[in-house]
Amino acid sequence: MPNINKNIDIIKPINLLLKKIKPSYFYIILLVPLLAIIIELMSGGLGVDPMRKIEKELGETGLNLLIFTLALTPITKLTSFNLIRYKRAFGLMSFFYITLHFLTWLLLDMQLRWDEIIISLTKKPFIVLGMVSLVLLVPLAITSNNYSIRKLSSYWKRVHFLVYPAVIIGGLHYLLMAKTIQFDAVKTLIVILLLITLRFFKLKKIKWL
Amino acid sequence: MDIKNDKIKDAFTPKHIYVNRRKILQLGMALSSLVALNKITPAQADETLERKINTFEEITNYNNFYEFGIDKTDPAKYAHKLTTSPWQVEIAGLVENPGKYDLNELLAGINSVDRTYRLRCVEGWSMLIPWNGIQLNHLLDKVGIKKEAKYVAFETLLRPEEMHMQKTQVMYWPYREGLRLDEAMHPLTILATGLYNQPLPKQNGAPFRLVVPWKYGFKSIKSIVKITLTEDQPISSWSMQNPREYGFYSNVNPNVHHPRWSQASERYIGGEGEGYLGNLFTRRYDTKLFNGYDEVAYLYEGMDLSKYY
Repeated sequence: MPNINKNIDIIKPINLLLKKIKPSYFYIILLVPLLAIIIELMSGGLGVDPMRKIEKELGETGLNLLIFTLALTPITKLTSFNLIRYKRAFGLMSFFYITLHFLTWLLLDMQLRWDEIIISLTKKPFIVLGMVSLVLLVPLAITSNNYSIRKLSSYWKRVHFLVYPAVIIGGLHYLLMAKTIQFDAVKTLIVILLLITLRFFKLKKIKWL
Repeated sequence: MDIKNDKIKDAFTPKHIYVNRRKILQLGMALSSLVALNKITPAQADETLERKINTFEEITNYNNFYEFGIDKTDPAKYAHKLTTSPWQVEIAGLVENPGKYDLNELLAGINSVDRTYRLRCVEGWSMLIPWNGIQLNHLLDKVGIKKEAKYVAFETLLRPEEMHMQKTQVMYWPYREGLRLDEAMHPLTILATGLYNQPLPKQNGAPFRLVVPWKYGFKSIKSIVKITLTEDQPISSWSMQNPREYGFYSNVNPNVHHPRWSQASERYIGGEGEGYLGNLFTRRYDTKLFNGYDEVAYLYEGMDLSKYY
């Protein structure tokens, strides 16, 4: 007769393994993409216009990390692997990359040309979207600590709900940035919409065979 | 901060400290880039009179040639697939001598010119490029323009088996462009067949392409197979793709902003230092009307350039 309790046999050891991987490790591990960019820059791998590439890669890393942060809860619910504890690290590191992306735009791209910056931030749709997305993430970054969870209590969840509009708007910023419709950006937006839909559905554990 | 209540059994550094460290790191990076850029103030508006000619490597590895891919490095990767010899050019429309000509036949007997022009892309970057070629007006005189002709239309090769993106719908193929006849006849307008006294590389539009230095770069159509003299304004591919963003004239104009980004300034590709790290700091300079080629201003006297963008 098949062992119905087999699924618990796999989950427990994996979760024991995961316990060894502390969330704080990810603050270092997730610096690897940044390191990769720097190494590529120094070796000429970023080509003739490195600034543009850096701007793009920082933004893409930030957006992808943010999306992955949103995937942690559905994956945990479906598999029972305890991944939710990594959410804070992934969330903060995505904010880190998005901030660097914004600073690259402000300092290396626009070079503090304020009149053009203001025009862009107020009149140019895809830039407005990017700014809004970043601004929506700021309260999340500021409250990503235990002190805030205690002080804000029921408001904390409401604040962190802002991640949903932030990630959609971020996805739209990514899509509208290019002169033509880019498949990567469309794929990203689809994944975002899927994850948001998942949030509103009760997820059943996958029965492991 | 109460560490004992911390559910996540973390390392030795309390969270509020390393989150702050992160913020300091970010601020530090911001400040050090400011220091590195020396004086990035809006007052840095003046164009350098001593602009460096871009290197052959820069010019041939940073191209918008969507037939070969969307990335700037795709043309260098894939353009080798293009067969540029033999190359036939069709001369059609309101001309005295229409027909299909071999390229060498077409260019025979026309003076060569060497022109170092600024190329300003609509995306907000620019280069200084040493072209070799012929003046377009000499070619047009050779084929004979009929008096009813008002415009010149150009068409790029359509060959999806060599230009793989032409199998996709990213743009309407073949790429088309056009000029008003007086713009085409202006001595500044050239057909380039070489670069740095080398044959024009394929990623730059071999075997010959238009260069109209006072307009945004996309007007300088590449790998031309057809030139037609017409009475009506020709199709301009980017204008067809997105009429709100790209107009027929597309004169470089800091006062007419693109709907998605400002045109008031441009980054000079080629940076301020040596090698790839130098290319990182591509300084912005104010964009000049007509890309600084004031000698064409008379062509647009009385025209509202924000209407005819």
